[in-house]
Amino acid sequence: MRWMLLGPEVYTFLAALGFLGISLAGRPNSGRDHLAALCLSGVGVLLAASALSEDAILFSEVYRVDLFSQVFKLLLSVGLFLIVCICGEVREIREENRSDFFALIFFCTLAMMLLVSGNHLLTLYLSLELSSYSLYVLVSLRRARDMGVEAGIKFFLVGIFASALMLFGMAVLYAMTRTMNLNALNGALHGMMGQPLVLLGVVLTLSGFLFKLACFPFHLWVPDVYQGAANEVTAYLAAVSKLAGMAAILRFVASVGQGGADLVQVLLVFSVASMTLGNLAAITQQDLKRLLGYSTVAHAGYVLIGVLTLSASGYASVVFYALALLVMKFTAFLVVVKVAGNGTNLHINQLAGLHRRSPVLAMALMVSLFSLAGIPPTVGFTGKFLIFVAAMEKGHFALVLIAMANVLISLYYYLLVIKAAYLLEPEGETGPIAVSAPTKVLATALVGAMVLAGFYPYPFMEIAQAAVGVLP
Amino acid sequence: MEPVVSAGALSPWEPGVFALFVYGLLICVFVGSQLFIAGWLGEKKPSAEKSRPYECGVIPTGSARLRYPVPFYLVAVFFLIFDVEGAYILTWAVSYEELGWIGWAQMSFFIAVLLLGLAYLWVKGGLDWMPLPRKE
Repeated sequence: MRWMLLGPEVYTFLAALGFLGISLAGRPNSGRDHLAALCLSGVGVLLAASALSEDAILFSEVYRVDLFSQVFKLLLSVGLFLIVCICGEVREIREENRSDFFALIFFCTLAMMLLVSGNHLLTLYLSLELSSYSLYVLVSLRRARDMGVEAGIKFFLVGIFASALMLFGMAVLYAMTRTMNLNALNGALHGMMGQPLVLLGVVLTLSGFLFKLACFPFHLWVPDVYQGAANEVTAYLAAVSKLAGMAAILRFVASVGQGGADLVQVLLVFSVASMTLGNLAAITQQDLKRLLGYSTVAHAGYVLIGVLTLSASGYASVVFYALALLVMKFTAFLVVVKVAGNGTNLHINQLAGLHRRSPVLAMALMVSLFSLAGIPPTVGFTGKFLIFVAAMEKGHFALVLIAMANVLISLYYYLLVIKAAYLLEPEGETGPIAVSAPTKVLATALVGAMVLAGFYPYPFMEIAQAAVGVLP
Repeated sequence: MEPVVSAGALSPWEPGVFALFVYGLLICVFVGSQLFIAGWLGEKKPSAEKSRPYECGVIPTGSARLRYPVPFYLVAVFFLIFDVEGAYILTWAVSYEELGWIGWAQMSFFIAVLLLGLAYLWVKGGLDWMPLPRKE
C-alpha cells in the first residue's frame, strides 16, 4: 500500500472538512482560522512535494497519478499556501463566513487536484464542476452583497453555458468512439480527426477548459467577476485556478488532438482573438482588478499558442508558463490586496506615490508587471520566449508576429500602471502603508524568484519537460 | 422484456399490445365515467375563488414582480438536491449484490457526505421558516 499515492488529495479533503466542522461549530474566530489554514496549507506543500514521484493509474483507469499531475498538484499547493498567506484579514468577507471561505478555498484546490489527474472525460467534468461551484460561492461571499452576487450570477451563467456545451461535446465524442477514457480516445481517434463530428466534439469539450482558462469566447465573465469578488478571491481566481485549466487543456489536447490540423486552426483563431481582445480592452480600464482581468484573457491567448503546437516543446513551454503566471499574477495581487488595505477595489490613480508610501510593494508591482509584459530578465520573458520558439518550430510565423504585436500593446497599459506608482504625485495627503515584516519578506522573495527564474530557468525547464514527457 | 407466450390468448393479436390496449380502454372508460358522474350528480356553486386556475396556492394573475418568500426557494433547492441523490442511491440499491462491500462502502461515504450537507444547512439556519433577524 503506497500511502502517498493520493496523499495530497486526501489531505486537502480532510483539511477542507476540518474548516467545514469549524464553521458548523460556530464561534467565528478569523485569527485562529487563518493560523490553521496557514499551517495546513504549508504542510500540504510538503506533502505534495513528497508525492512528486508517484505514478499509477487508479479506479478502473479514470484517475491518473503521474509526474505531470504531481507537478501541477505541487504548483496548486504552493498557490494555495501563497493565497492563504495574504488572507490574514479578509475584510470584504463577513466574520461568520471566514471558516466557509477557507473550507471553499481548500475544496476548490482539491477539485483542481482531481482535475489535473483526470484521465476520463467524466472525471474531468466532475472535478471541473466542483471547482467552479466553489468559486461561484467564493465570488458571491463579498460583503458588498450587490457587487458579489452580481458577479457570482454572471460567473455562474457563463459557467453553466460552457459546461453544457462541454457535456454535449463529450456526448458527441462518446457517440463517435464508444469511450470516454482519454487513453482509449487517443487510440480510437487516430486518423479520425478529419471528420467534422469529431472536430465538433473536441472543440465543444474544450469549451469547459477555455472557460476555466478565461479564453475567448468564454472570457465574458472575467472583468466583472474580477471586479466584483473580494480581492483575495480574485487573487485565487487569477493565480491558482488558471493552473488547473492549463493542465486540463494540455492533457486533453495531448490525448485527443494528435494530427488535428483543423483543431489547430480553431485554437489559432481563439488564441489570436483572446490576445487581441484582452490587450485592447485592458488599455481603457481604470480599475486595477479589471485591468488584470483583461490581461488574464490576453495571457490565455499566449498559453493557447503553446497548446496548439501539439508538440512536446510547446507543452513544456505551457507548463513553464503556468509556473511563471502563478508567481507573476500572485505578486501583482499581493500588491492589490495590501495597497487596498480596507478591501475595496483599487483604482489605478490610487497607486499614485506608491514608491514613497511603500517601496517594497512598488518594486513588487513593477517587477510583476514587467514580467507579465515579458521584459527580460524576468520569468515572464523566458516563458513567452519558450512559447514563441515552440510555435516557430512548427512554422506558425504569422501567429508569433501577432503575439509580438500584442506584447507591445500590453506593455503600454502595464507601463501606465507603473507610471502611476512611480511618477504620479498623490492628490491628498497619504501616509505610508503599513506593511508587516512577513509581507516584506514574501514580496522580496517573489521578486527574487521572478528575476532568478528569468535568469536561470533551466531547472524549471527540465521539470516541465519531464512532466510533459508522460503525456501521450 | 419477454413477450407473454400463451396458447390460450384472447385473440390472434400480439398479446402484450392487446393487453395494453384493453388496459388503456378501461382507463378511458373509468375516467370518463367518473367525470361524467361528477358533472351530472355534483352540486355546482361557482364562485370567483373556485373558477380561478389553481397554481399551488399562488394567485396566478397580477404583477409577477412580487417579493417571494425566500424559504420556498430554499426548500425547493434542498428538495432537488436530496431528490437527485436519492436517484443515485436507488441505482446502487438495484445492483447492490454485484457491487458488494466496496459498493456499500462507497455508498456509505456518499450518504455520509449528504448527511454532512444536511447538518450544515440545518445549523446554518437553512430550514428556519421565518425571516432571520438582520445581522450587521
